Order: sequence, then C-alpha cells, then structure tokens
Amino acid sequence: MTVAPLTPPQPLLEVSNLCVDFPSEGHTVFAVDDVSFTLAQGEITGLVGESGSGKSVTSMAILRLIQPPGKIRSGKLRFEGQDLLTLDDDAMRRVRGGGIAMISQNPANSLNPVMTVGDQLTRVIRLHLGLSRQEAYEEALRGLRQVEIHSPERRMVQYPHELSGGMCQRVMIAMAMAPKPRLIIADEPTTALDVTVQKQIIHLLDQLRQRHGVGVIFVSHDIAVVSQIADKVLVLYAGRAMEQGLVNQVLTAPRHPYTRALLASMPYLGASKLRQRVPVIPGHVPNPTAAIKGCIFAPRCAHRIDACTAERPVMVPVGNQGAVACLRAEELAEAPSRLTGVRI
Amino acid sequence: MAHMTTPDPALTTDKFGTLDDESRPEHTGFLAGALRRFRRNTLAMVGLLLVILLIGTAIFAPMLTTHDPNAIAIADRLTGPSATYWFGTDNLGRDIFSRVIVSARVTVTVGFGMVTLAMVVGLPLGAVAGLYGGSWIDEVIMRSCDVFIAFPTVILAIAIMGAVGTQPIDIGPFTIGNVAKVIVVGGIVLAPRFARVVRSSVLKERPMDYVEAARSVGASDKFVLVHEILPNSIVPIVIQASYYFATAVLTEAALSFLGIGVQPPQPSWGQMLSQSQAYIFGGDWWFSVFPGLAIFFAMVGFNLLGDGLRDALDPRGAR
Repeated sequence: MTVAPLTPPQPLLEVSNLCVDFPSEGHTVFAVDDVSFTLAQGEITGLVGESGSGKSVTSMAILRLIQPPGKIRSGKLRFEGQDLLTLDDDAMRRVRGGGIAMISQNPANSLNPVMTVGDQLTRVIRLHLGLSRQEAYEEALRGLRQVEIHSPERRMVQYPHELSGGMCQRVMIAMAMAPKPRLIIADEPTTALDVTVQKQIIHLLDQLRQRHGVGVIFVSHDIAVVSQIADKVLVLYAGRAMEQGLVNQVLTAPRHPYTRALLASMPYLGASKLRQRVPVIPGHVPNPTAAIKGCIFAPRCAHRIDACTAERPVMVPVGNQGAVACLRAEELAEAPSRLTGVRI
Repeated sequence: MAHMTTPDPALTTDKFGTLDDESRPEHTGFLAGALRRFRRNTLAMVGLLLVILLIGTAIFAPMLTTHDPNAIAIADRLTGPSATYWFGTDNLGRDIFSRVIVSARVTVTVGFGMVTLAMVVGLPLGAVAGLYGGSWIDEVIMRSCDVFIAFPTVILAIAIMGAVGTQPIDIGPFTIGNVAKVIVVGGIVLAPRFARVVRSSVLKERPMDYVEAARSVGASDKFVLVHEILPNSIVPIVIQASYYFATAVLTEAALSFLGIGVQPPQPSWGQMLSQSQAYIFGGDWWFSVFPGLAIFFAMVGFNLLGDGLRDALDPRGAR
C-alpha cells in the first residue's frame, strides 16, 4: 500500500518541542508548550486532555492551519522525514489531504451545505488524484462503500442536511481517505455522535488503520473512547505534555498525579448512588502564560512540594516507551495509590 | 430523509392546533421551500408581477405604443387623457402613453446594465476583501470603497456625470453612447456598495467548519472562495441585487431629470418629469403624473421583490 520505506528508524510523524503561541492583550498564551511525540505507521495515538489543553491546537499545528494571530513559535514537525515547517504553501497544500487528512469534530457542519455529497467527494478526489469526472465518481462510490455507508449511490446525490450525523461522519472519513493519506488526524470525531454510532465509527477507523496502515492521531477528551482505539496516549494539560506511553500502561498505572486525578474523576455506570460523588480536581485550568514557572499542574496537585513551583519538570522516560513530567513520579509510584485505573 | 407515505398525525396537528408548514421538517429541499414561502407572500407576488410587467413592457414596447413617441402634433398639445391619447399629450403634442412605454426599455436597459456592472466589479472586490478580512488587502479595498460610499448615490452620480459630460465619447472604433455612459456611472456608484455586501456575507461564511474542512484537505484560497464560500453567500447577494435595481432606476431617473442622463430624442421617465415641471401647477396633471407613476411602480416592484426574496430565502430572518 505505502510507497515510502517506513521501517522503524523513520517514524511517520515526529513532533518535537512544538510551541504554539496566541498573542492576546498584554500577554501571550502558550497554547501548546514544548510538546513532543512520534507516531509510527499504522499506529493510533490518543491525544487526551480537558478543554483548552492544546489537543486541537496541536492537531491544527501539524496541518499548519493555526489561525492568525496564533503562530507556531518553535519546534519541528517531520512527516515522512519531510520538515513541514519549511515547506512552501503549495507543497503544504499537497500535504493537507494528500499526506495528512483531517476528520473534524462536527461532521454535519463540515460538509458544504449547498453541495451534494457526491460533488464534494469527487472534487476532493480530482483535486488530489487528478482523475476524470467518471473515474472520480467511481472512486467516490468505492470510498463510500469502504466506510460501509448504507446505499452509497443514493448518498451521492443527497445534500448533507439529508444525512444523519453518523452518515456525515462516514462521508467525512471517506473524503479524508479518498486521496490515500498516510496520516489521519481525527479531532474529536465521535463527540457529536451518540454512543452506538460512536462505536461504529471507532471500529471503522480501526479497520482503516489495519487495512491501509494509516497512522491516526485521535484527539479526544473522552478517555474511555481513547482506551478502546489507541495504542499510545499523550496526556496534555494547559498546553503541556504530562504523561505519555502505551495506552494500557498509562490508563491502568498512571504515573502523573494529573493523569490519576483525571482517571479518578471519570464517572462510570454501575456506581452505586450511595457511593461518594465523582471526585473532582480542585481549582481550574490556568491560562498558560509565561508567568508560570514550575509545573503547570502544581497549583491543583495534591502531591505538590516546594520544588514543583520552582522548576519545570521535564519528560523522564519510564517503563516501556512511557514518559512522565513529574518530579515525584518515581516516589509516588511506590506509594500505594488510592486511585484505581480506568474501568474499560 | 424518507418520504412518509401517510401523513404523520403528530406532524399535522398538535394540541395547540395545526402546525404551520414552516415548522415541518424540511424534506423538500431548500429552493422548493423558498418558492413555497415566496408564493404565499402576497406582497412579494405583487412585486414580481410589477417587475414582470416592466420587463415585458420593455421587451414588447414597439408593439404596445399607440403613436410614434417622438411625433410632434402642436395642434394637440397638452390635451388630457382621451380615447386617442390615453395618457394625454405633452407640451409638444407627443403621446405620453407611447413615451412612457418606450421609456420602460431604457429604464430596464440602464437598470440591468448598472446592476450587472456593479456585480462584475463589486463581487470580486468584496469577495477578496472578505476572504482576507482584517488584513491589509481588506483595508485597502474597503477604505477605497468607503470613499465612494461616503456620498449619496444620486449626488455621486450627478458629480461624475457632470464631470464627464453627456456627449458620446469615441474611443478608437467604439463609441460610448449616452446610455452606456449612464450605465458606467451608475455601475461605479453601486459597485462599492455591492462590494461591502459581498464582503460581509463572505466574512460570515469564512469561519464555518466546512471551510476549515476544505482547507484541511488542501483547498487553495481561490478554491475555498469560489467553490465553498460564494455558493453559500449567494442569497444575500441576490437579494441586494434586487434592491440595487430599484436604486439604479432611481439614479437614472434623477440624472435624466437633471438633463445629464438619457438625452433626447430618446425619451425617459426622468426626462419627461423634467419637461413637465413648468406645467405641474397649470392643471395639466397628466403630463407629470404618468411618468411619475411609472417610476413609482418600478421602484415599488423591485423593493417588494427584494423583500419577498429576503423573506423566502432566509426563513430565519425577522418577519
């Protein structure tokens, strides 16, 4: 399927020390601050965090679609060994869609309301693959079959408002897959859908990954969903990476106090009403500006020591492929956690 | 959405009475719904009728006249409406009915010309300004437009027309006639206003998800503008075009009234009003009333049509 020799030494995507700034009155918000991760071919990485943690900004940054005045201050983005930040606009446009595709949060609004599904699909296909109208039509139909949409011929002539949210998302996935990208960025692809459809979409993404070997960045605030699909997970908080590693490890044996608190605050079905309330993390997410010296989670952390506010913790490798940015990670790992892992 | 074979009783009635058509889920398509709303709007239909009447008159003018519009019959000067002269005669004994009919043609020509020119110039300007909204490109385009918009349409048209004069201009093998000149002047006056409308509707669509989605699959600025944004912002543009038609008609009438618009022997409503000025208080009411009514109905027609289009195409708008 893939042409490039993607043997282990070269990952599909390499994000290193990515920083994205948004200047606002008087100060600059560091929406993404020193985030690094790699993604191999056929791998699914979950980007997890609360609202404003920088998940979406990270994914938009990979496509270089940060809206001004926001900008990528520093860092490296390597896609198939190619430095995305030095590409000219035309080359970058070919990467968008062609190499890296995006599936967005709001399937119903992400399709052009005045154009039929078929027109939109064939347009994208012709843009990237340069096929004739007839070939593009066939290709579009094939794409719709691949996403297992019901009666694809009919969908081709329908308008987005005639489709359900789940169908729109399938169309979006078909559109994303049409130019045969090697990486898909799925930004909260299931958030607007109900649980059954959510499951189907996740299954579909997983299938596409297996069949075509595409890498997937799966952005979600929903840890349960990420646990179902991702191989690896990166936990973000206020624009900084807190912890990363294999999904089972991070979610069953979280090292970072934030990850633990996040997992502990997940409600789950079957909890007795008599049990205590869902635990919450006290305080609120700070605006990440230059003023914050130490660990950005320190003000809300139950395990804070003086050193935490003085010095910014760096990502330290732990276990198998994991890393955590906490001064006390090792020490806390020894202590028995009163928090249990995620119930999958 | 599947078509229901039998009407769902819950859809046709509820405990508050019969549900209005508008609140029924849309399964007929946007244009069908708009057409239905338009047809149920009496004023809109009146507007459409007036506009059709005007355009029909313009097309078939030579067949509708009863006299030669320029034939002078001094013996019959200033006679009131009669079986021979339906709208009476003017100070030179010319048949006012025939002159009103023939003038419809110049009105429609000038109106179409002005609006088309305003669109051809204003649409790309506004679209580009909207696409790069907030940037220096937007600033340059819109501030230049503001210079024109700062003056009332008619005043600006008079100023330009006054500066270039009413005589035909020869440019190489082409002659820019008097009517063409009026069209160009009107187009210049209306284009910046049009650009502003286009810009605002492009700005409204620009942050939409589908635009971002298009960019994320590698669409260029031009592609996004032409294929994504413009098809979605066409509705306010069409509505505005209808209103500008009325403005164009009025501008032409004003210029002709002042003698710097359409020149004799070609009659026009504004010109006829101008000629009738001296006779308004002399009891020769027909001289001024009929061309005045013609302008009035043309204006009302385009305005009602514009209102009707607005209400039909944008059902969420204030009613």
